[in-house]
Amino acid sequence: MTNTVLFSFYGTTLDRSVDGDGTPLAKRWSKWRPTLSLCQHEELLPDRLEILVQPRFRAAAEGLVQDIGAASPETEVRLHEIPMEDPWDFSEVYAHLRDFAKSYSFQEEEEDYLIHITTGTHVAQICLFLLTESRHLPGRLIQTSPPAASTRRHRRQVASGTYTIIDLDLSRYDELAARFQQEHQEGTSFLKDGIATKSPTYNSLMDQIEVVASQSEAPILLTGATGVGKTRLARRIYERKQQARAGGHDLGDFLEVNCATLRGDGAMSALFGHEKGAFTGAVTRREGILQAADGGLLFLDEIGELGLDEQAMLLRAIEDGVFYPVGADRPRRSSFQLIAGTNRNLHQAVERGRFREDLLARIDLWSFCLPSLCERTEDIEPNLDYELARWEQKHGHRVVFSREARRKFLHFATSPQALWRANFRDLGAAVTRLATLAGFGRIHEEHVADEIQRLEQSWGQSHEMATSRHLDPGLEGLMSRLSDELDRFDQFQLREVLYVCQQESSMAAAGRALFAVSRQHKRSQNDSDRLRKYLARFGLEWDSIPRRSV
Amino acid sequence: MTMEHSTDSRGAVVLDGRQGEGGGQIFRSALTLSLCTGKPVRIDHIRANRRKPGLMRQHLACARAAAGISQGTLRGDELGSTTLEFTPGPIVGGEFSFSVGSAGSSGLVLQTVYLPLLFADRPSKLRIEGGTHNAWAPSADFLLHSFLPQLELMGAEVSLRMDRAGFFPGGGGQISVEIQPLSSESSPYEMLSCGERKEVRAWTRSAYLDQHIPAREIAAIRRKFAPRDIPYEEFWHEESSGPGNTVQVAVVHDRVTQVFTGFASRGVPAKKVAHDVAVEAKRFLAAEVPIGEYLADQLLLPLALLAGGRFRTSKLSKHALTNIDVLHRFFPGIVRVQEESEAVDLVEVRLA
Repeated sequence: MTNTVLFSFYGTTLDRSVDGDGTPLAKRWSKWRPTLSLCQHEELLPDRLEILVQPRFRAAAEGLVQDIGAASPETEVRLHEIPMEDPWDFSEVYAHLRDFAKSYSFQEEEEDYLIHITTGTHVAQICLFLLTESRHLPGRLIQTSPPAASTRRHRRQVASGTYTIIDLDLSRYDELAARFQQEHQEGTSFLKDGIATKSPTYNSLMDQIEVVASQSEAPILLTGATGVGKTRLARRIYERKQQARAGGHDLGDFLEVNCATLRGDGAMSALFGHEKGAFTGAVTRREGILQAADGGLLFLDEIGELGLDEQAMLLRAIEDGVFYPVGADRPRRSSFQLIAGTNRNLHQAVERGRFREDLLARIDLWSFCLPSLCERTEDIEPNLDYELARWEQKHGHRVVFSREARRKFLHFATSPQALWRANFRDLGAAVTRLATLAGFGRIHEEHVADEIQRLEQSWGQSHEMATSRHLDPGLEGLMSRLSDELDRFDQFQLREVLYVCQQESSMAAAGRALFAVSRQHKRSQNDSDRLRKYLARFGLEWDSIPRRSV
Repeated sequence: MTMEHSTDSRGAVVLDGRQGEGGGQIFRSALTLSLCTGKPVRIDHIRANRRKPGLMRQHLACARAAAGISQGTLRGDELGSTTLEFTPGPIVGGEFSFSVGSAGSSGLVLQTVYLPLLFADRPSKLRIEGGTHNAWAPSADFLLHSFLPQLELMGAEVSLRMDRAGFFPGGGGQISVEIQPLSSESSPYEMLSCGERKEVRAWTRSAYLDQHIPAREIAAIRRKFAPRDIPYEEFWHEESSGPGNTVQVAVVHDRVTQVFTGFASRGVPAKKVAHDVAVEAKRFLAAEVPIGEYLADQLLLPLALLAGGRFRTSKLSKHALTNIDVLHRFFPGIVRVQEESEAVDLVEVRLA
């Protein structure tokens, strides 16, 4: 059987049992004393009571201990001096109580802990609450109340009053979790995941998408930097449509494909399927993604990475609802709504012949550019709360910032120093790290300081890497012009290529240096040609690259 | 009223706590009888229909005392538990300390364990911390003046001393009890008439209260019994940890004394408390039976286990009927109740 152990502050007023000389107060048994009342309930048996007391009230507390011994002889009572100078000083009280909690040897297997929060200063009560919430005190809270005036005539009610036990483990409260879910479903805007965003441009953008999503089956193009939430939004659009259809016929599936993973030979058959025996290795028939999306919604992320052949087939599928699987003679039908995502400037890609103009025209009808996090700093706070709530839902316990830690984090997050290069992906990662390191407790200032350092370091590293290859001023100008249109991925590559070109005396030498590895495998014979084509993509020619005197 | 006869797979006597008076009585009697017979017992639905069902602290204290004197094993001995299994061990006697807090009564703990300790092979000394004067429980005064003298008539030597008075809510009381093992077979007990009445007297026990409270109580009692003179005494308990006040009226006959107790309570005038006790005592006098309601209830178990015999009493209370039911589960048909009139029962108990 587990023992019940109670923690309670000696309440200098409410628990007072003796006068200045230590003489027991005559009327003490007719007044309600909260700490004593804990030991006066017939259905609550404290095996041990740990009373916390300021040293100067120790003698007075001994008087209370005496009375508890009489009223509840089964209870072992221990006094603990908490050397607080000022019981209204938050940091002092917190520090002392935390020390107490740390030094106390809790045996959760054998003992059930109840933390009484009715006595002590409000500051002490709050600190006990916080320490319980953060599991420094691994117990439940107990709150006592005096007997109601109307029941005072009943003998048994006079002394003990009532008590309530509060368990802060929120995961136990299924209704709360359910309500949380509900709020999200009914939130001001479903598409925003219930996040109360403040940015006016973002909010009006969401209003437009809301209308389009519910009214139109036409393709939608979502543009914006990496991590701004294109995938999440696509999924919300799908769920929104599904909601609108409730009761009617079912919407098909949501399929999500990143086109960057579909390059090369497999791309065609992955998207459009193939017939059995269509090519070597095609042992069975493959249905393909488009077929699977029939009646539903297909999200093609990074559509700019799709090959030209696939683009042509996709266009046909969007326009006519038909496509040919690899090796098939007859067309297949599939009717789906397309949402395309890209962080490239597709118009430029069209100019360079990398993207079909007709396909762009088709998917560009509803084009929405999602702003990056730096462009909507006012939304960082609601998104921070959203990430915290998501964490809570996933892990079953709350993680909260201390007030100062939150202030500090938001100050940094909205400052120009916060680059948020990967946007919400960075923010989500930061919250995950903070919550993980805070354990079951709170996120404190020191956690935030460490995290700021981590974020700055990761952004600094990429920045440093990106700029360590110093280019000719003219090329630097080109890089900065391209920086809005190119992925970081491509920027890095281009910078490195240009850096090598600057160093080498001829295009052949530069080609050898750049393709040194594949040369060994004899896969690439014409390095110069490969380099020329690469440079052409950016409108560059070998001769226009200034040489550096070596 | 009969209880369903059943035993569980271990051969334990199974009792339904909802039967009869439905409170702690079944529970305590079952523990006592289990200890005396060595039979395991299981009580289901303990206090099932009460506002706070299951075992409360005072019940737990009794269960642990029962286990303590016999090295018995308990299952379900937790607050709020509605099922308790008890397997007694051998009763050895010796020195024991028990405590019961909150509104618990030391008398109820004693009631649970004194009978088995009479069958131990050596004397026992008990020290029980808890209330000495609690409502709905035998007070130290009742035990001392009413109950123990009757036990003595059955051949049991049990002496009690009140070390400290303990009132609700302060508690802090203590009684010390010495129990000698039964020495010889006793002759049957018989209490059919009052015999000669010696006196009616009253006393108050008070702690940390105004002087006028016991004074008013005594005055109210004397007024009620006027013109007869009632000797009285006032006891003040400086040693008590909290305030309290009870008023006792004893009706003393040749061989039996009835103690009636009134418990002062906040908001109830002292005069009324005293008046009610006086009315109770007078009603008993008018009934012209030797054994009062509370004593009748308390005598059933010792009669069955120590002496056998019979007594005349006023109509048996629900508590007493519940006790008879529990007794019958261990010793079928051992008690016979003969209704002599609407107000008088003759109770006959065979020695088990």
